[in-house]
Amino acid sequence: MFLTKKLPLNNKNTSRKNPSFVLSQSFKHHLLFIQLFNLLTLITELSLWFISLSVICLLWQFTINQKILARPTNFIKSFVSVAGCILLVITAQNTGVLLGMIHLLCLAYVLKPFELNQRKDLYQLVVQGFFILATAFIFSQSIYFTVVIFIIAVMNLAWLHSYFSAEQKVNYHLKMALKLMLQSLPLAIVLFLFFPKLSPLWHVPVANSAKTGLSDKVTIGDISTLALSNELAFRVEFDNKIPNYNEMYWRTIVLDQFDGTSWHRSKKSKQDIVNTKILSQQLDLTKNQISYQVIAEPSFQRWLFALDVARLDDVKQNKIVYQLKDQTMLSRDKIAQSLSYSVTSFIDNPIELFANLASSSEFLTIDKQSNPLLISYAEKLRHEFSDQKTIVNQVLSTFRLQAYRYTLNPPSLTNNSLDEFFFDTKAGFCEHYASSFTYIMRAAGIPARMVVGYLGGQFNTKGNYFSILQRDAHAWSEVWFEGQGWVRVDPTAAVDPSRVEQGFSSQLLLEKESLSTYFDIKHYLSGAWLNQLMLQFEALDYQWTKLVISFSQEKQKQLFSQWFGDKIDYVSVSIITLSFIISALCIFFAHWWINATYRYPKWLMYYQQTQQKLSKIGFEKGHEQLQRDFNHQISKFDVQLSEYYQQFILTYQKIAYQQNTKQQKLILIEQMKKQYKQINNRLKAKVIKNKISGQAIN
Amino acid sequence: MFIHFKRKIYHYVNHGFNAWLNRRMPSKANQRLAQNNIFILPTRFGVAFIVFILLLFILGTNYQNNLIIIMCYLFSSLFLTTMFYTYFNMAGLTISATGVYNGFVEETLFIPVEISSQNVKQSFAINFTEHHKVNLMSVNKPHILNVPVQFNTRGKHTLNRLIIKSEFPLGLFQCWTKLKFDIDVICYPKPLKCVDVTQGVNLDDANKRPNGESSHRIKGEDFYELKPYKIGEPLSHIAWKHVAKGDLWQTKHYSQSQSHYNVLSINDMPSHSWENRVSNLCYLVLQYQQAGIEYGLQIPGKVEHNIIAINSGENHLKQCLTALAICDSPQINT
Repeated sequence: MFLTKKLPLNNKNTSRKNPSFVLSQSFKHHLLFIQLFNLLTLITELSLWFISLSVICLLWQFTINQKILARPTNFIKSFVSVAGCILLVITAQNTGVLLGMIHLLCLAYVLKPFELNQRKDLYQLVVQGFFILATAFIFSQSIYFTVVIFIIAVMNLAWLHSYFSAEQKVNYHLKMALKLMLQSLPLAIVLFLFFPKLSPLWHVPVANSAKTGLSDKVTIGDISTLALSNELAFRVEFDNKIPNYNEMYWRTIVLDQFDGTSWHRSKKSKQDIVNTKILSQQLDLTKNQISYQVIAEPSFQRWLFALDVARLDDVKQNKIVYQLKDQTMLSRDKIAQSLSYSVTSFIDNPIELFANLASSSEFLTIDKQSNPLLISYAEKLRHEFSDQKTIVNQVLSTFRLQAYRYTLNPPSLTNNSLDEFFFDTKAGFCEHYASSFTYIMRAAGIPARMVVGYLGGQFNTKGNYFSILQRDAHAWSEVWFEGQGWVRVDPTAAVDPSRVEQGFSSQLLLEKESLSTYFDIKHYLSGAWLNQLMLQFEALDYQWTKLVISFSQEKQKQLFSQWFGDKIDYVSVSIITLSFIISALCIFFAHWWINATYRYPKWLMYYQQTQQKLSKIGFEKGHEQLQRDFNHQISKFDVQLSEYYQQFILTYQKIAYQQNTKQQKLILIEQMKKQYKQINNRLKAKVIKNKISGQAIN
Repeated sequence: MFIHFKRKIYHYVNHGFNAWLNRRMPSKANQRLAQNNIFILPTRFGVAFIVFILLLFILGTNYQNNLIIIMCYLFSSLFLTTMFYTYFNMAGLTISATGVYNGFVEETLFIPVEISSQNVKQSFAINFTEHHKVNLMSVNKPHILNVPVQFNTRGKHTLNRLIIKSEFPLGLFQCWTKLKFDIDVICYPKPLKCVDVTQGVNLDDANKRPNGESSHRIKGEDFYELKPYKIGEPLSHIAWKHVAKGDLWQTKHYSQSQSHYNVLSINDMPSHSWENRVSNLCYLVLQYQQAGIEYGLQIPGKVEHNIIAINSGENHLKQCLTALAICDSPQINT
């Protein structure tokens, strides 16, 4: 046997441009739409030059499709791609590796349609499009975004489907694609639940987004700007006991160094990490305890949130979360996506009771030049009162009794002078009070530090959880008393007790609104129903975050032990379920195989089912009984039914005993089906009627 | 050496596969596609798609991003779903074709194939030979499709298996079948122009003469002899006068239409090679037919000398051309 292969006549052109590969105009236009939508999912991450390049490319492609412009020559094509690559390298230096890669992917995707010469190119486009959709999930994972991505993925599929189908209508392709996706969904969910979740295989570049929330350097005035933000910081679901509002001090960062203008966090070493087991031994576990789950929103920082004195519920969580001796919690990596962890807090326990404050001078150092008036004030207090607690109370009562004011819009201070605030302006936000209080304490010889975090939270009645927004950011002080450990003192409570008791007062809310510069739809739409709706949506998003986004290896294991007991280990469950899926598929195949070879005749099925249904209401045809007598019996029950039945039997006999051609048989079966339905409907109607009238059948 | 070896293996495998196919899917005039005659495998795109799914899994795992992982699972599941779609799009298709068709070498022939289905099926590529594909975008009602074939050698050919392929709906899987039908194609030799050696006239010139003249050539020849009438001889040659007298039916034979004169023999052909002579003969046969001249054929064959008596008409032409198509070269055997 000789294999003869036709050699291509021309060298390059024939091999690169397949003449039989012709795409319709509308198909190409749809491609532009698809590309536009795919790129839109990444719009917040793409740099401006790239967005404009994409717009130009898409418009260019459009004009080529419309035959206004000719296809670009190879020179122009390579010029554009080289220019794109150069810009890419320049931007990648600022944006980081991840965004650089994404830009590269998008660049290839945008330029690909110019090279759409073979089927292979078309497939590449499809896969690239899907990849772009997948990477979009790195940056946003809300339920709404997911729905949008799903819709766009369906559109991509519909476009691919239209290549293989003769049907012209777009709707048909969309419908088919949606059908394909929905039919694939159940197996995907099963896989998600049961397929073993792996730990990261290697380290990957993290998204380099802007940090949000608190920072480890607080200059006076920082938090009040944060207080204007309605952005979500984290959400908390309490297991059973919910603490009071004024107990919900969410510790985030402890600032123990002051340089005259701002507070810093000292460098931490490995020794500062808490061993959860040792912590458990030190704690008095009999006291009030509160368990809860925290889901932190991506902040691109590492701070986490907990009430005092917190202990991680499961040591395994140490893989992602660790705790420092100052009771703050940190994530091992930047929080680039929702992070969930569960914690138990023993709220009445002292903080760092056994800490060795030999180095307590660390908590006494202050910059003596910055605020001389406060220092002399502290000296005076120290002389007047010997007891440390009296000094604390003295300062707090000063705040309470004098004309101090709690405001989001404090008068500006020269050089961030605490002196000026304490003696002149007397108006400030929480960090003004916490900062000057801590300063005074240190000056008076009491070890003190500043803590920033969040206070309180909004309870969502629909979802039964608290959401803590950025505007709940708060600052307070801690002072060290021998034998009591670190004791929380919140000078803000002395100034504006309502802030601590139930959050922002109406006065502050008004201030906040007047200071907010950005558009907030809630200002324009109001009403109870809208609030309810918003709560509902937020609750939905919470469930999504809790169940889907933060479904981790640990949670999968928990789920397995819940369903299958503790004895079965995780890997074997996965193997069992996977083999279950595979065997289910095999059974399906086998079933269909058998079905394909031997099919039970339909007409026989109709006959048997009708007989069964009749016997259910008491008409059972005996072997010896004549068909005529049986009909007569039914006609006593319902005349119409017996007529239908008679015809039905006639058709049945024709099929079963008469010589029919194929065509005839098909017609007869069709007829029998109709009659079968008629009888069914009649029977149903009759039974319902009898039930209503309470008559006993038979 | 290696190529030779490769070819041998290919040949061997192909042979085995064909034998298996013949056992599994024997020739039938009417065939319904079901699991016993449908093959399905992922396409190249399908394989690339699996790689893409793996990449998604790695991406999702490294970023511990559940949504990317779900997307990966959704696409894997979609991969399976399309497999079913591809299969069910093809299953249930009924194809029938049969008969004997004829044509010349290198001429495109169209073999009618009837395709029908109870529900709508989409997007098929159908072909007998590799380079002659027909695309069928949708099947609903019974539909007759003319599938082109072409042969490069004369003779009686049995058609290759009919190949039907489909990648519907997403191109991830390809479903195909290879069906055998009882279809024979008799491929006449390619006419090769030549001078009519028997008459020494180029028949093209003869054709250029007005019709009357060419027919005159026959009528105006000298009467030669009377022979008993044989079925198939033209009525115009019957000696009606004799018939009227009550004699036997006899036909008039003219000096020019002597059997040896209009019987075209392969040995008289000018070309050297056997195949070219057959082609010459084919050309002459066609020319005679067109000119309305009676002719016979003499082809020495392997086993017996194939002689076709002088005659005319469509059936005669077909008979002659078929004889030319299937005649063997005597040299091959010696």
